[in-house]
Amino acid sequence: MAFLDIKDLQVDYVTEDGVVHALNGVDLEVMEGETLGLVGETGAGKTTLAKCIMGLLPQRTGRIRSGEIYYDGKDLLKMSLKEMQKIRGAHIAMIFQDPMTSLNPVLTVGDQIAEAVQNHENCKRDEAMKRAEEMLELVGIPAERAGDYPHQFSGGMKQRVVIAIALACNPKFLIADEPTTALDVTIQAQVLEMMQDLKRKFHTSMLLITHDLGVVAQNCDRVAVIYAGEVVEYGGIFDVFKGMRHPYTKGLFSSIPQIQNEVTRLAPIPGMMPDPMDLPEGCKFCTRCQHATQRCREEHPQLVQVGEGHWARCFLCEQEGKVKE
Amino acid sequence: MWKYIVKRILMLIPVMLGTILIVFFIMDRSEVDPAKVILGDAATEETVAELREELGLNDPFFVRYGRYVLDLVQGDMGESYTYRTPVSDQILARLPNTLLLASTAVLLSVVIGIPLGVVAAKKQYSAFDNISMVVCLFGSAAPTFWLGLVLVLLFSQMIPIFPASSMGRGFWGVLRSLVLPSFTIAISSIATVARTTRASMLEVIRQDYVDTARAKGTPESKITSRHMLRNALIPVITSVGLNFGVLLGGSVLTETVFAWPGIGRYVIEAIKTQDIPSVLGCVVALSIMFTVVNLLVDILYAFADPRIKAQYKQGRKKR
Repeated sequence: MAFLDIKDLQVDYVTEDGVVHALNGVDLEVMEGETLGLVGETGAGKTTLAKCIMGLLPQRTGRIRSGEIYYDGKDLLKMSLKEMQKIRGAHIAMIFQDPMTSLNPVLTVGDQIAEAVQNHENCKRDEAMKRAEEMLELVGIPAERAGDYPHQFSGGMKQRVVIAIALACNPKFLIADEPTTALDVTIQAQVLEMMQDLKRKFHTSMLLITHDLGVVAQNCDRVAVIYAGEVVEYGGIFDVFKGMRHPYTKGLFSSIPQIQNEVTRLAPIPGMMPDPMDLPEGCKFCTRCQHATQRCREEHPQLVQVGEGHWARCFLCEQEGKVKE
Repeated sequence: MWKYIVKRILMLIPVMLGTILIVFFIMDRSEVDPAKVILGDAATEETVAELREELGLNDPFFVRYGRYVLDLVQGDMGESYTYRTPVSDQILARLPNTLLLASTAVLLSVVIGIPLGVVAAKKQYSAFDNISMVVCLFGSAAPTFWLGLVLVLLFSQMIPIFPASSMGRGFWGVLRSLVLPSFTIAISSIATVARTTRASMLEVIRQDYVDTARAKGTPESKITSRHMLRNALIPVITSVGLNFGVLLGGSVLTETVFAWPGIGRYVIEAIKTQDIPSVLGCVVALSIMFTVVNLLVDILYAFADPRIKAQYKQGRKKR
């Protein structure tokens, strides 16, 4: 039984220039206690997926065309704002991409953590503040700094505060949207290690969104590769990293330089992601794929099982296994 | 912080000296001979010359300027030519009325303008937003004297609920007579405050920390008051502070239209009767008020935004 089950999620952004197809039928499952990595290029729809789970799509432009997101047997997309407010923070929490902008500059960090506690637990302000101080200690910031404002913290510390806010109410599911992208490499390692520790401590499931395959390898149990708003391959971390099947996944891996070879130029995937307002009819990757045939351009491939719990969306794998219905 | 405030108060001194210098210079260049004004048209050449000597009007410009400033420091603003009483008494009698009018107008602009801007921003592009912003545009474009006359026509002539002029007696009397003049000066600043609040809220609504607050499960009403408004308030404080100056200036017109016994009407009277010490005294009083309000606004910033407070503290550390 999946803990979080996303079924055929399709999300558009309606803009003045046209309709942006951000997510085009995403199916994902997250099991209890596991970490699922979500990998993809900028603009592939990673953040849209995260915001959609939280119910934080921009009200004016975001539009959910179809799909269901089941959490604990209930469809999050059908919930009222009131119900959603009870879920947010207490059951599902989110760590945002940019710690520089995701904290309110005019409130102390202690207040901002305590607010999360007070939203969900019926407690007094000083109890909530005490809890906030505990959370700060937990993420490695001295409790005395609870009265400081965000501008008095460094980037890495701000991200710790953001993590403390997310974990303040022991959520069962944590969405981390590129939690380390804005941090430098040494701080990245510290923050990731801390997140792993806390995850183990609280038995939290996690959706880790990143474009860094190294981060995925170290932290995730399973990984899903997303391209132009569509999952193109997913499976266990070992299966995907050692036996990747989709040409896009292969391209991603071969664009990482190998330390044992001498590399003078990087090997990127040629071409650009297709314009999300005007996606190709068939396989979304056909414009950049070296194996693309006429069929790829006309027909949309389905996910094919290529191994135990390992799926890829490519006609090349068609003979190998059963098509997901 | 305290050091900053003290520094700012000390800064008032050169500002005031400069203001007085300019006003003093302009009054000096005018064709008016104070001695003639005091003695009237019937006076002979000799008596005028005598009085000029007695008043020290034949002394060099900077000597007279220095004398005025020295007197002013001791609270002496000279004697009104028309009333034959100290100018400072006249001003002190009228200052509370002007302050009452101006602060009521500021209160109105804050109490009406800010909620209007917040709702308009939260419902951007809705009918409420469009209509209120068009009305605001009209409000800030309409000239004060015209608005005053229209309000008198509507609420004093056609529907006689408020008095058209002068100040009433007793609490309710004052309150009733305060309505029309205070709205007259407040309307343009209500409009400015509403428009500033809306623009600044729209900026804040898109900020990441608002999403962070939502992701914590914070109710929408609390997000608006605690996360959006507090951040959006900084430009609004500027706008209200600047408006206070405009209100003080605007009160000159409004007080005349409504015969409100304040400094604004006094200064007009004084100009008409060429009562130089009164004009000087009023300008000095108004500019002191204006600079003090500016100081208050700067201090308010520090309370609205901890980053600005930190800057003040840093300034102290450097010393």
